[in-house]
Amino acid sequence: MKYFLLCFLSACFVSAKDTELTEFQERIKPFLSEHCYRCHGGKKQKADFTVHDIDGLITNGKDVARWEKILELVSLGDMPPEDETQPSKVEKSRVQGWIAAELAKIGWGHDPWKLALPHQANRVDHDDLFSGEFKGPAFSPPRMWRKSPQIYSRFASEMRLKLSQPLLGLGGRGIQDYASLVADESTIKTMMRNSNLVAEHMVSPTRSHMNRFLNGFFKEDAERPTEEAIERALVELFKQIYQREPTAEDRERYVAGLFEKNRKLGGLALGFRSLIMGMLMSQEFVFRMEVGLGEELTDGRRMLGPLELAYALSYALYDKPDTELLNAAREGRLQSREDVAREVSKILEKPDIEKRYWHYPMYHRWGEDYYQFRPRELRFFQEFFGYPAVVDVFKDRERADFHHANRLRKDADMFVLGILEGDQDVLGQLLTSNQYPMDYIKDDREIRRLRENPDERHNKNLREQYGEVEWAAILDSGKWPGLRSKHVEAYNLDRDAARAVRRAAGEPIAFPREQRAGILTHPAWLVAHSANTENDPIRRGKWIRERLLADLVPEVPIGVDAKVPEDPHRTLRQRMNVVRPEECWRCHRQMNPLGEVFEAYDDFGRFREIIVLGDAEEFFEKRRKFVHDAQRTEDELKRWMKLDRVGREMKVIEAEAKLAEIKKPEEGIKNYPAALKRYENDLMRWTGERKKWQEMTDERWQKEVERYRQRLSELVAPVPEASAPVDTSGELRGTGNPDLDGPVEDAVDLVNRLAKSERVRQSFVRHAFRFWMGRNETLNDSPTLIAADRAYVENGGSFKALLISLLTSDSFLYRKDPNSEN
Amino acid sequence: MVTRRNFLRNIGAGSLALSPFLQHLRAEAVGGLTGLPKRFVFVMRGNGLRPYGIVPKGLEEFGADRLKLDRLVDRSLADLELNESMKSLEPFKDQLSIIQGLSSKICKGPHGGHFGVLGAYTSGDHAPPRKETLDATLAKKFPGIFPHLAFHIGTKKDELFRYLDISAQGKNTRTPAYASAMLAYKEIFGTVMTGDDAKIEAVAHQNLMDFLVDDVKRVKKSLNSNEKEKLDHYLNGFESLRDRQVKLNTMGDSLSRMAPRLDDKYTSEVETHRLEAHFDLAASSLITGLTNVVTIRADQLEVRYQGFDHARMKEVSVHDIGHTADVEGTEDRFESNWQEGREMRSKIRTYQMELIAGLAGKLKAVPEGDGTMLDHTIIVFLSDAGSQHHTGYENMPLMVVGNMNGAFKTGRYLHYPNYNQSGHRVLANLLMSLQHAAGMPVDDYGDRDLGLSETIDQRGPLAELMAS
Repeated sequence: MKYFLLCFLSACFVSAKDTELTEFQERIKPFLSEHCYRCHGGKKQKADFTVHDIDGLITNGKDVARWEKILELVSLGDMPPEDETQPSKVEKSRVQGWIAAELAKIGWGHDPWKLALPHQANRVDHDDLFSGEFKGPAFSPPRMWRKSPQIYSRFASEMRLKLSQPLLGLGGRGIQDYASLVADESTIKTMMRNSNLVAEHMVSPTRSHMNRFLNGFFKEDAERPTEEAIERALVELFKQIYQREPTAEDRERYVAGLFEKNRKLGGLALGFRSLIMGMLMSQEFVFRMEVGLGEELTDGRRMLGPLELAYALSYALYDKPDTELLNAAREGRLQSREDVAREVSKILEKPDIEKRYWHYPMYHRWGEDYYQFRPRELRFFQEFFGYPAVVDVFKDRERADFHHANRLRKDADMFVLGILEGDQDVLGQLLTSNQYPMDYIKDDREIRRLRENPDERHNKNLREQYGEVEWAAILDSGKWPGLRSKHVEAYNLDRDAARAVRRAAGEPIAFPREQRAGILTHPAWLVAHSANTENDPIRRGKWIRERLLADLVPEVPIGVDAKVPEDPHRTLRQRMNVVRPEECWRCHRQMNPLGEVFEAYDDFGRFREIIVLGDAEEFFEKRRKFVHDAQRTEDELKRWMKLDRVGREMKVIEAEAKLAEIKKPEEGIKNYPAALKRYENDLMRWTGERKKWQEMTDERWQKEVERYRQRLSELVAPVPEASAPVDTSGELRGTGNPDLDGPVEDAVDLVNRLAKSERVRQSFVRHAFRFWMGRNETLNDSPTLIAADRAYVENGGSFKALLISLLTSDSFLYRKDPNSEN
Repeated sequence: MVTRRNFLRNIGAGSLALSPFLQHLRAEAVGGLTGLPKRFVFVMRGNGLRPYGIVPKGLEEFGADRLKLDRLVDRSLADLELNESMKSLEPFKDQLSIIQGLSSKICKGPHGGHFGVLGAYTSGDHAPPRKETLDATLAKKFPGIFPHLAFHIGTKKDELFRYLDISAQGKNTRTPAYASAMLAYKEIFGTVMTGDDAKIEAVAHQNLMDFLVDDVKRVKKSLNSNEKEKLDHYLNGFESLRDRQVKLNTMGDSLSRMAPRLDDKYTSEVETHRLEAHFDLAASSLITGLTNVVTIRADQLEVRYQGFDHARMKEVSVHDIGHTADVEGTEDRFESNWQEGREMRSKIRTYQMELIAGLAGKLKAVPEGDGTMLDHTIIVFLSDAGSQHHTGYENMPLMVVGNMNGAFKTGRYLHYPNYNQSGHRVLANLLMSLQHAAGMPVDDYGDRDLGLSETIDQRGPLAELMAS
């Protein structure tokens, strides 16, 4: 056996892939001995890890795991610890370089695909990037950027067809659309099915709305088409799908090579169908080509050609090619950096959203349908802050019936859009503003209808409900009694309070400054970064560390199976003590002190001053439920009092009609248990309804209300021991500014400091760079980042200025193969 | 009594064209042919396969977590009663091997080793595969018209495809898997074409495919190597689709004859129904010879089992179940007791075992050679997360049904010594055993676990499992 092993080793490793041992002896070993041996040597073995006995011969494979760990910890700056003498950057990079190169010889070390993921870009040293030492020149590689799911959806919606999505984003949380994405067999299969559907619709004479793509060709000319009509239809297809006219080469490939062939085979319809399918699956349709067709500079970089620029800018701002940009390119108005700046500014000057009905993408805002012109800007903030994940976090309905994830998400969208509209100190406001807009679609629609058509039937219904009220006066006073959205409880507004502060115009509500500051204390963000039943300080801390402080937290070590112990009598912070032992705390120190300041909010985003423990929690839930039930009973009583005898009899008849409609599901159908459950629920509901309207009297209603009030008063408040004061203390490290680093009091204190930090602002710029360039930044991109940061600052925190700077940067405009000689 | 000849006569009667495999069978029934195809089915679940859930009755001591075992345990299953959750497999007890104690510490990732489990190499979270996995290797060795069929339980009703995170066709190429059973049905069994129109369609389709392949090749020239690789994915997709269609067109209606019955479960919203449909499709495709290798991702962490009659399971995902305690004396972050955690896991495991037993039963009902189809099939059932939800890969409990015509000594419970104990073996050894059974005597497979001392033999098949 040993003989085999030796043979194997010698065959695989030793011959061609020897370790560079002189380097080890001269540089690496002294480095380890200077910085590591004291804690991980023969005398002390912290975390059971030693390096004094490590085998320098990496490629013989014995100590690969240890070398990988050293590489990871040194490159993340985790080791040596902060309070020890630090090696110089040059030294560090030399050690990293050697280990990485040696590991790569035997297929270990960093995975290149993984390194291309957006959050891994934080490995590039932040101070280096913004030092100004690195002068570029900046460029992106010539590339084929697979289109985003949204571009495809946008196309599908123009077809007015429901197509399944063949393209997927990166997955996980964070930036989704990246140039490293690929399309393969499963993409093709789904696309083939889709394009078949589209083609069928296009050539069908009966489906008129699709015929516009062929200019009504199959409607008018299908019987006896002239060659001119066919030519017209062909040109139209190219215009609609590729936004251009067919070239001579296209005529050879698409028309002669596909269309004519299949036309001969099975007639005109088959010819067109194949052509449409071919176009919808071609690389031109699936990929964005950014090769650099412009003139070449002396350093080998080539600028994007005018048409390439038009597409690149289109997809930077929209989910579809923009006609104006394409026209500008064709008319020679898109050739230089100045041209790009001019065109982009022109686009950004227009408002992002505009009131329009039934247009895609539709955007509901304060009860009105808006058309959003440039979805990409909002999408950046959604992916950067990650709050849309609020809809993915499962919350038990029984714990809180008010939780409404979609509304919270929409609230946060409106918060971002409002600040973007002002375009001043955008990041600062996003992090600190206490003015949150809220979503009340239904009520706002009612207000609009009231204002616009006072005599409409709907208004009569409202009058029935609320009696004759001076609507005009109520609207002017800004108070509106019709608020029904329960989700405001997440902002600590009870339903009555919300009525009082409600403004008819849908203006944001100012919350107490000590409670809320910016998106990180917004319920949408808090819930998106919480667990199913409790807060998640680790996730929150990691988020701040990686997104705002441009740092990278090491991955969960393998085999760690730590569970936060369940104990209803201790707070989460107390239970989190399991990560305090040194081997855990080394990493958790980077996350927990940041995430734990948000303990001032529960896992639904409600602000709290005490943490309710154990039985007390039960009590509060019970009381909340009682208040809710009592309120509902009172509402019902009001409705009851409004109806006369005939009205009540009508209700009985209605309930009976419903009961007659309900049928017991037959066994053997799909989802039988669910259908049975539904049947039983319906039966119970309408039987109850019938009984209520038949048997109830004013007195009994009153009694019911009394009963609730009585039971409410009987509920005894919890004993003080059962709740604990909130501990919101934490610590901020890593802003690079000694005035800001240090202990923090609470979440509001933390975000206010973050908002002042230069590093946070620059980290924000780095994320914007990744989003719009579709790749990770390198040291070459340093001038781009510095310029973008400066543009943002000099224009008073204008996000538009930042965007214009990025889109006119060398990184965006130039292409060069990084492997080329030049 | 169904004899081989009768069976073949029945299915062959009146069919215009037989599948290649049935033709092969018929030839074999008439004159005799050697070299029957070998079939492999891999069923992979998430969340770990808990040791206590697979040990036979009477051997409960080997079901403990972190068992420190310093010797090999080799017991015959004949005189033992199977675990409660494996009751459905009683009829196949003589073909069954239950194996514990193999480690796979080259795998990384807290929730599963991804491609590394079937490929025996290190593969990080969310990273693409470094090389092909064993199921793909076997599929290339025993190709059917669908060289490698794969299924994924999916999380939504209208999900069509999913890239597997456990199986790869090669570097950076994940195996695509059907999530929608309906789609799988249509593509595998619904492509039977007859008449002139169909022929024209087929040629037109061919022209389209040629055009698209040419379209991609044309731009490839002007790109650098990274981008070329990106386009290769696209190109290979077209090429394999093109080839498959040609072959399917020649198969006639024997396909529709052998296709599984289409019913509600193909479009059901309930995960378990879809999983049943996946197993039906797998059985039919194996029996018709459309494929010889099937990989089934029986569940994954984000799946929610709504089909079971269990209130809590309708709410929580498999991931949440993984975080509930299931061993006496442990606590978890949910308000649940350990019995409930055990009950939820047991429901899922029992169900998956039943599906496997169903598949084995169907294969056993079809005569082939001197025995049945099951005699030339191996079904492997394991979890990419080893023995528990957050795994350390020290024990990868697994179950193998089938002996591949006597290549394996089956009907046994094998428990290997603990990590780094003398006599310890790794999962790669099992993968090599499978290759030996497939007639590919590979004695060195995948990455080596460098944490193991040199006395541990990481080469060659598991001697205890092999018949000779």
